[in-house]
Amino acid sequence: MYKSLRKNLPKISLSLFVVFILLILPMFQVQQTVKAQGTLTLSTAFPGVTVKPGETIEFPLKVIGSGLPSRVVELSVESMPQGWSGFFEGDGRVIHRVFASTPGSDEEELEGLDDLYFKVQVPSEVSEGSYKINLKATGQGASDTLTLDLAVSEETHVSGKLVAQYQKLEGPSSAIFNFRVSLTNQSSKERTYSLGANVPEGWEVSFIPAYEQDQRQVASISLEPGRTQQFDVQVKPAKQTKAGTYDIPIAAQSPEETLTSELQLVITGTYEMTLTTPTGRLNAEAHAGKEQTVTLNIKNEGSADLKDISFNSSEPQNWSVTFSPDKVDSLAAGETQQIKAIIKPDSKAIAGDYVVKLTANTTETQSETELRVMVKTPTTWGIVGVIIILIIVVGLLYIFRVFGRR
Amino acid sequence: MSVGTTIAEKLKWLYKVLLEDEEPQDDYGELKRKGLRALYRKELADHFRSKRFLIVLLLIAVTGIASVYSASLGIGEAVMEEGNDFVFLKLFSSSGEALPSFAAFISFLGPLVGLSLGFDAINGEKTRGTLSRVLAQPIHRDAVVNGKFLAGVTVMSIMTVALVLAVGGLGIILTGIPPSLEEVIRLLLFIVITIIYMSLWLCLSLLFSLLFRQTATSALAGIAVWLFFAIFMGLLAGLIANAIVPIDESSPATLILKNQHLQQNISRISPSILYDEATATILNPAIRVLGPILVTQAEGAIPGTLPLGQSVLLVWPHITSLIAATMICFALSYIVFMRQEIRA
Repeated sequence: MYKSLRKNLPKISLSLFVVFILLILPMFQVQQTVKAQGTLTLSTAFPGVTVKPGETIEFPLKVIGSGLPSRVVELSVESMPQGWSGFFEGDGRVIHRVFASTPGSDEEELEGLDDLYFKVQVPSEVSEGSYKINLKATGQGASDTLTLDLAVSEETHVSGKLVAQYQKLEGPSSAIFNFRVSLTNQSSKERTYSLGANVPEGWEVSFIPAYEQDQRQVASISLEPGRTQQFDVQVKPAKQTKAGTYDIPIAAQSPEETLTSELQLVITGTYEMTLTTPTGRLNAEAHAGKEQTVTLNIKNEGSADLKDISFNSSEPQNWSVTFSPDKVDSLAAGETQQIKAIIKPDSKAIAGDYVVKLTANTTETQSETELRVMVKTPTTWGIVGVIIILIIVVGLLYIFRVFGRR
Repeated sequence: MSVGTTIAEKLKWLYKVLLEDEEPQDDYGELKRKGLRALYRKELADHFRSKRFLIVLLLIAVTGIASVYSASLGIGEAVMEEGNDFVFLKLFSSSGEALPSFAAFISFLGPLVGLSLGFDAINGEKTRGTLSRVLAQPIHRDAVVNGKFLAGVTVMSIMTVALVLAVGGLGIILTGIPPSLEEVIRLLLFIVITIIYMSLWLCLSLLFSLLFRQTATSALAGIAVWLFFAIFMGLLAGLIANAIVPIDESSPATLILKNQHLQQNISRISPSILYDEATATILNPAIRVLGPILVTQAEGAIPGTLPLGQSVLLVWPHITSLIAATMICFALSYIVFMRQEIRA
């Protein structure tokens, strides 16, 4: 057995060598082909992006391999700044492997592979600057890295527009103000903006889309890319709003951006007052030639303070009307003050009803009230008449006594 | 039974004396009361039976009813012009197309009632010789004049009340408007003033029947005074006023006003004018002033009605004057009668 082995050794070694060669050669050849032909590419369309702190961004990724023995590719994050987080997402799930597509592969094969993203959550507390994330795709015999460059900036480019037609409106507090505002979505995606405004307490604000039959109030507006929607910001100030300028910040907020604009409302003060009696009774009784006091209420019903209120009256001739106090220096909005009017009819006034007009004046406004004054005849002469009759009765009785009983 | 102190007691006494058949208690009172009561009843009976009374009653009843009927025809227009208040009173105060108002008729014919009841009261009895016989009875002498006056007032009161009720009833039928409470009170006041007014003329005719021996003379005197006051007083007042305060077209307003006031005050000597003004004011609450006024006084005045008290106050002097004149006339008649010598 040994002899035969010896005798055959050259043959065996040769054949072994051949076998070895035969075994090695293909391997050698294969390895050469891998190194020469297999490529893997991990790419995204925009590897450098400006982001805001707190924002979540997605990078659509493409993994293309060619000449690979296996198209299964392992995805991993090589390095990420401290505090940042990111993951691969495909078809709504977190993934770590992807089936690479081949260049020039048909549409059918590409389908489903489009849905690959790398999602990055930018920390909300991060200083401005440039941050880098390295991604790696490792396939069989080939790998590729992708560096994402994120420039964190507080100010990001806003893709929408929120513009008011007239930013400043003016009017009294009783008016309703309509600001025509147009909202434009300049991004390439449909966006839903929720609308809001910051108004002082007691004010009412509503958003009404323009050019619509029914005045519907909306809380949000959905806009397709490139579209512009006009709507009215209807502001109803509180009744007792004091005169002045009011800023009303409005905002349209979508998940991606916040559009703000500032509206300005100039409330002009209203001057209004009423002069009446506390009970609302507008008649009084007075005796001819005698003073009669009538209590009056003056109320400031406007939104501005009234200054230097003076009173005057229009009464029949020979009558006198005096006011106490005859002047009110200042009356704040909403306040009421009591004054007295002392009416003295003519001493020869005929009994019956008369009109006395009382007016309160300021430089801005006036209020007039008509008082019906009933003049009564003094009863003095009535008593004199009774006395005359009594004297005559006594005289008659005296005559009876003197001349009667005969 | 004594006369009593309060008015209520006095009225009770008068009622007892005049109407109750109760026998008096003491001798003195018996004589007196018997005399007054007997004479009062006799006078009442005489009046109610006399044809004169019937004629006068018919006269004022016919004119009164005619005037109210006439007024009721024009009441629609009056309501249109002057408003809806006190429509019922307008029946009495507003004149129709053809006839003067009820109040105007009473103002004119009321004196005739008073005169007709009194012009021959004393001298008629004297002429017939009945007075000395009456006075021969054991009665007080003043019972005669008192009885005649009270009986006359009673007759006139019955007449006035009956007439006003009759025409008022007629007015309700014709217009369908019932009177309000204030209207009723105003009508009552109207009746009272009318009775006082007629009583004045009764007293005046009583006085004339004492002063003149002939009944025709006293009747004529009464008619003369009546016509003078009713018709000529107004004309005369104008003449006197123009003589004292002459005015022409270019006179200032104050002078014209003075003239007008004077004229009005002079004409107020006439009881007819006093009665006219008083009843017009009572029956028409819209009247606020009597006589002319300056425009300035009316400035700022609202057309409206006066409350009852104010209306009464406005004509209180008129009412006082009428009452006073009546009493003075009666007192004069009383004195004249008591001092007169009466022979059979």
